[in-house]
Amino acid sequence: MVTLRDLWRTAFIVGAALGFGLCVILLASERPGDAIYAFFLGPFSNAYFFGNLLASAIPLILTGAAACVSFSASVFNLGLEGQVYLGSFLGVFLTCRFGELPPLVVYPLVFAIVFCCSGTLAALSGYLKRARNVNVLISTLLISYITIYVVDALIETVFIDPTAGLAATPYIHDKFLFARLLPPSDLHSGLFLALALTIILRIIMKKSALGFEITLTGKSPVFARYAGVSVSKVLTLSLFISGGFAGIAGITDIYGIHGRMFRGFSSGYGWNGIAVALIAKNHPLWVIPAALFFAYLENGANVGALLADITPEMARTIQATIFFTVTADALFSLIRKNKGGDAWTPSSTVSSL
Amino acid sequence: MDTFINSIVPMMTPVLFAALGGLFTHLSGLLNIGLEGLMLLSAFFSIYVAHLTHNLFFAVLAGIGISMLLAVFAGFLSLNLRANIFVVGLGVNLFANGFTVMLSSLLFSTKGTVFFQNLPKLSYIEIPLVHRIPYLGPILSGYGALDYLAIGAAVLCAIILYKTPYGYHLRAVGRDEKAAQNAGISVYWHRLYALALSGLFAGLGGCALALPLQTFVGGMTNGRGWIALVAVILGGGKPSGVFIASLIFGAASALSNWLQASAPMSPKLMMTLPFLITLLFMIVKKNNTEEGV
Amino acid sequence: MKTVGPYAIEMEGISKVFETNRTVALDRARFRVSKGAIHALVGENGAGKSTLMKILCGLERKNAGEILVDGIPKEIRSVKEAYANGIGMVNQQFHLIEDYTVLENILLGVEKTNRWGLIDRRESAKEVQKLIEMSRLELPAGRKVSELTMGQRQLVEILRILNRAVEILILDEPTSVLSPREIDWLFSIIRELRARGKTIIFISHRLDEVFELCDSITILRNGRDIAEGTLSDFDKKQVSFLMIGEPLGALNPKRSPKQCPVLLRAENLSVRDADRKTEVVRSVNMMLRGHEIAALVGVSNNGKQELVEALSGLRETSSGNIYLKDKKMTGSTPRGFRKAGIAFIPEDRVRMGASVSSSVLDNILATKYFEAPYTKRGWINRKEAGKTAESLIREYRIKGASVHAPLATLSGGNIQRVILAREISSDPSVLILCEPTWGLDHRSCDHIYERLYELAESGKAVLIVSSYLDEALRLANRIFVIYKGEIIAELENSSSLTKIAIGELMLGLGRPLSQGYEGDGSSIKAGSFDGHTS
Repeated sequence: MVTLRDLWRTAFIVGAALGFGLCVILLASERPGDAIYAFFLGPFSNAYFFGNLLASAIPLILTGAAACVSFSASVFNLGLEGQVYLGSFLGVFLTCRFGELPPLVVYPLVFAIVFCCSGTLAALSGYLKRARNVNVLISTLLISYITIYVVDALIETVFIDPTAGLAATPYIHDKFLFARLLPPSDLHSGLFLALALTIILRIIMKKSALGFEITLTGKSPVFARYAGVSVSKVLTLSLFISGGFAGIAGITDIYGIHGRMFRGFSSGYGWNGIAVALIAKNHPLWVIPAALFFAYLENGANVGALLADITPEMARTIQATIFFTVTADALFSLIRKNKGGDAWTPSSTVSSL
Repeated sequence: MDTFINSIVPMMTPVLFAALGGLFTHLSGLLNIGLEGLMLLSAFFSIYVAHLTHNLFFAVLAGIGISMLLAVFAGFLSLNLRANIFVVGLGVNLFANGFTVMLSSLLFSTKGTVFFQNLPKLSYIEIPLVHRIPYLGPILSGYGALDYLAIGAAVLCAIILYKTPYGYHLRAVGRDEKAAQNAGISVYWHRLYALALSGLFAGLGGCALALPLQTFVGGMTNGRGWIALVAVILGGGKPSGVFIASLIFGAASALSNWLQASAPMSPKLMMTLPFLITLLFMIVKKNNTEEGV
Repeated sequence: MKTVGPYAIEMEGISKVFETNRTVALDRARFRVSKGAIHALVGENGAGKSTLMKILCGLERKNAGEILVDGIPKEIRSVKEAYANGIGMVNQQFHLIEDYTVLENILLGVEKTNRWGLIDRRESAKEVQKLIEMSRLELPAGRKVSELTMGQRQLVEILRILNRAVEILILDEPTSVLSPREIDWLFSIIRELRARGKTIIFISHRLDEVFELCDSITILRNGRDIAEGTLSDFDKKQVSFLMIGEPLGALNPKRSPKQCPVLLRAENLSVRDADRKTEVVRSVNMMLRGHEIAALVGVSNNGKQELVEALSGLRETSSGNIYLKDKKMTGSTPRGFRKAGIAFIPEDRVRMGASVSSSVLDNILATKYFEAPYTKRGWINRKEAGKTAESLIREYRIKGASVHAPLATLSGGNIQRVILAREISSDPSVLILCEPTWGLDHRSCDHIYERLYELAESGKAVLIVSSYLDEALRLANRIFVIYKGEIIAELENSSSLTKIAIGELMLGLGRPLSQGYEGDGSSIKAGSFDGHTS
């Protein structure tokens, strides 16, 4: 349900982010006029930039959805980055192995394997939580770092394309690349896949028994256990789905844009996905506009870098400000409830997100 | 081999500093996951100020200052505006990541490595007499000022936490909010102090990371803030435990560096070592305290 | 009937509304205490005693009213300000840091430091030792609070307050966890404090103690002050009438379920605490028959909670077995227990019994969604669930927002009804219900009692866990008394069974079960219990 308050909140976040972006540009740019134009309107100025905007939203939609699942269960999968990485690498590897087969056979196979492997990587943390009570937030993160280094090692040694100038795998066969929708931009048909998967996720969360269990556990694990939900199973499953989505995000980006895997491939897909999910308040469908908005800022900065003198990193800073603005959500309730007693009582535990 | 042993402490220092910061917030009942970002900000600003002033003292001061500022801001968001501390911490990390690289490209016109050869160097201090002890001497002596400061800070923290009223109050706040409140202790202020202190120490950690290298690179903390958080939990919320956990990480990092140079293995595989060892310790350790998910 | 001035404390027109469940805890209450008196504050549970005192000592904020300390208007916004005004309170729930020592707890917040800013241990220890000696009781200053008995903890709480040079000491139900010897000691301390000119506010619902100890009294009912005055103007009957407002309803018409089949049976059941160190429930044998309402009573921290959680499958048992109609339940999952037909309503309704941020519908669906007709091949049939929810809302007269609104928007009483409706509608063979009427008004209570009778009449077994003995006596056919983790008595409810007799058993004062129990004239048959025959 979208309430008036939600709309206000969204408007406030968007406004604050753009306002802050404006300030940064005014401070940083020597040609602020050009820079502002490029930043704010650049992504819409032609089909190429617009296509790129949509293209860079694709992985964010998927990682955002991934974060949604685990956050809905109140488990913090901070290892999305590693799960994206593993998924992309495995996908490229398998696609090269199955190079003889037609794409229509390879796609389902690769997607299934990638989903399961990345999912299992995440679910491992669920297992560690149950067996050894290891903090999920920390184990997902550490495993993610380990995964990234191991995959890097594999790219640099076993599965390297020696002709490439950088540490990268060989290209997959052209027939596997997704169709470009708006050439010469990067936009590819993976967009439909991302949208479809997000909608499926929404249906699962809303209509299935598993979705019900995940939401219930997320809102109150004590109550969920009392009601007969196997909490640790649900946590592990939500991590599995979350990791699976992250893996799909990686391989989709490969099939759609890069065609191969290289070192440092996922620069922030995971972290930005988390941000997107939090802005979307863990609602799978809201992930789509949130991801688009994130992608818009990123592409604004990219266009600005091309046409004016601002840097892509500016987008990161602005994205982070949005993040802070999200946290200021309580500002509204504070203003409205004219000081409701112990206003400072923090949500101190991690599980109360 | 000697290089391995001698690099343990410098490897440990940034993590130990940040972990001490995390210790204060942890004991106050908050989980500050923004340590990584605070370190990164401080690393950048300490290098920048060192470049401007050629004065290490001002450099460290700038690093600490910016880090504390952001930590207190995070505290304001979390304690006054009731934002979730977890989300705020993530925000700090995202912000620091983007902001430092943005500034780096604005101020130094590079997004890569910022290296200043002519920066004042942290001198290595040979402790008189001690450094002459055979075998042990080189291990105990010959580190930078910040390395000694980190070890001193750990001792100081232990004293503050276990010998002063402030320490008792802080731990009481984290243990049992209601009980502390009932004893007339302000939960709000203690949490805010704790966040400020976490900013202070994470700031020192950032300085300890960047200044000896005279370098800033985007994302140079490379998970150390997170490792610091792990060290807090692994160390059971005690300064001694935190010190040991940081030492383990320092040794693992040193080992990883040493093996990268000497073993015929992929250096990337060696780089997993610190994380792998930390994870293994997490798994083996008894985790009976309930800390959410 | 007036208390005499000068007053140490005057509270006028105090009102308090709890936002979270929208209950009016206090409604323009007045409360005055003469200087140097031991003043009793009495009332039923939920009358607002604790809330009033929490306002006085800065733990809660009032919505309206005025507080005067020694005739001067004061705003007390925090505990610190209360201390500054010489007001200190010992809460019913202890507020001690478990892993600090006695010394550290007593000193918390008022530590003495040396010139280095470090805690001066020797000076502090001396001071605390003096305080302990004054109290003429042995208390190991260096031991951790977690290792102390409840009585000792109470003592630490009191010493902690006294250490702060408090003039007005509030004691909230201080005797509920104490042994008789400790109670005697406490009373002598309180009298000595009065002799030294301190004012003591004594909250209790034990009238014997009030009449033994206090000088004056205020009676609260439903958040309002009903009467105040010197105690000699009252007698016990009067006070008890004023507290309750109207005489209790007649005792439940007794059925005799002797011949009915045993539904739930526990056999040598033991449960360990969360750390798996100590046994909190020890070799419990009990059985519940169809057509009966049984009650489990006991002082808190005696294993009551752990026992019912084990019986409903939420807590791991360390030995022994649980049977439902001869089907062994031990080791089954919480869902297994539910499916077999054991429904449980926990004491902590808001945290464990419901999810207040979820919708009413989801709360009702939560314990049913895994069964037909609400789920089919993993998909939930929300239409069906909605129908059930609507009909329950009508049947249980749950007032409030729609089924899609968060549970938190309902009032406390209606939240209770939602939970009750959900559990009863799952058609359990055994219903275990903690504190059936906590925080409910009279009408809602009667409504719930009716439901429980209906349930029992239809052949189910009901076990209530109640801290109101009146309620247990009114509802139950049999009463189990738990003390230190053991069922020490199983009592048939008859007109000769008195609250006092049960109360003594709860405090471990009764003679052991096997010898039978005889207390103050009324003979009580303590059925010799044999868990194996049915």
